[in-house]
Amino acid sequence: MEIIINNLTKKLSNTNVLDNINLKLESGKIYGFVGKNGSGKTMLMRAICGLINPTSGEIVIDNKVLGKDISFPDNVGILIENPGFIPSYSGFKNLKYLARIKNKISDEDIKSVISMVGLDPNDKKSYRKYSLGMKQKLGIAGAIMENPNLLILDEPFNALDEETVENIRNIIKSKKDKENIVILSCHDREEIENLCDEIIEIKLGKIVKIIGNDKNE
Amino acid sequence: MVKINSFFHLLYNDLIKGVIQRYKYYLLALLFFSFVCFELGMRTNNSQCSIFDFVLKFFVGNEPFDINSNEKIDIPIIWIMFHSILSLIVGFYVSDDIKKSASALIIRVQSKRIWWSSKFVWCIFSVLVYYIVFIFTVILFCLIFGNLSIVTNTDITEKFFKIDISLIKDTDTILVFFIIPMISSIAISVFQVVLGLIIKPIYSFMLIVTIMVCSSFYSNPFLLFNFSMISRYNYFSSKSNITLQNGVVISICLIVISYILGMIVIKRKDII
Repeated sequence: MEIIINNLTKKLSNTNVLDNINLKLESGKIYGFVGKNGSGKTMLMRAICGLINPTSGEIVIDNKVLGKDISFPDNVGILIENPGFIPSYSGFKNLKYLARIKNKISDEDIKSVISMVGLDPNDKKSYRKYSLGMKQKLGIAGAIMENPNLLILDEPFNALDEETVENIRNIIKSKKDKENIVILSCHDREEIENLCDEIIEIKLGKIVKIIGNDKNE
Repeated sequence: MVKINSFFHLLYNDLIKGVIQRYKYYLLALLFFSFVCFELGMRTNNSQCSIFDFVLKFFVGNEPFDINSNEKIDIPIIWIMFHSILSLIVGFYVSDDIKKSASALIIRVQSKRIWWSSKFVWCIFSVLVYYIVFIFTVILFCLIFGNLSIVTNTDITEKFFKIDISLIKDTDTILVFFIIPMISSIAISVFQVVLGLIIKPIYSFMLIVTIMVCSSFYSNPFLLFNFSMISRYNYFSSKSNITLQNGVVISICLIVISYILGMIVIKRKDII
């Protein structure tokens, strides 16, 4: 998989929230977006997902232009802000409902991914009663459960305790293989440096620095 | 096949989040319907209101504004309340959902078109549920007041609503009392949802209420709310162009236009 972003600009209310972004993302790598709140990290993730229409420029995924040749990237798992679960359903029931849209994985696969993120797959508690950390874990489980080629996680470590962070870190590392691209954003620079092969620093909608991180290669 | 499956999944999601989990709105409607039915039942001294008498209380409407008339302006509060509550029910869910779960679901089904189609059907379904709650309440009060009949009580219609209901052809009664108001409500509701995608939903709500108030003053088929005012139909005034045919054609046109417009809007809309 290969994602090429050419001169991508997104203007909202006369402000460039993404300003002439040029970037190449290749499979087998974990990319980390860093930057302050409102710098454009989430907006860039949304653009890669096909959720926003660029003002100018283009995103090419495996030689197909997003928004022209394809509407959305194929086989993508995302955790961006609100995962949109049904409040009255349990964690398992929510993931089962989502999984049935593509019908690619079994109930056992769902239970296994729920356990993987540190939740109890047999817990009957409804999603609305989940703590913030549990909601975050379920969101991550929802993003990774179908083994996506493109995994996009926006602030995946928010509201998680240290033990769970370590667990999620290992899950993210396990997703790094020849077929996959992992993109994540995080406020914690050290976390990004520990996990990512390339660190992309974004400020006021512009990429200000791309740093290769040899220690993770 | 995959697309149909995805559509039904999203629709199921919308029916749970947009109807079942928003039951409080329908309870509010139930309270309002009950209050109005109870009040009519008491005012008529239990003189056995029929289903149509109760329905008339909600849909009779008022005379259009006449600048030459000396009569004071009659504002149909109950009619406005009926449509305002419905407008409140359908007006905010879709834009809320865009902020909450749209990105996750659109990515999963890989189509904004399927997402919009689900919201469109949800909107129609919400209107149907609203009318079902309405009819249920009316039937309940007919049972309480002891006259579960569809024959109007002319004493009541002439005394309280000042219209001669016998002028409506028998074959048209169900259409005038239920079907056309419901179709026009669906048309207005889907239009409101689309407007809510273009402008803020609160402005869309205010615009619809403004159209509603204008409809209470002026008799014009393009002010669609006129089709849910029974007193405006051409049975009572030969000059009126509020006819069943106009009601069906204009409502269906607006439903189709709203669906297509919604599709265009959502395709261009950023899911932020």
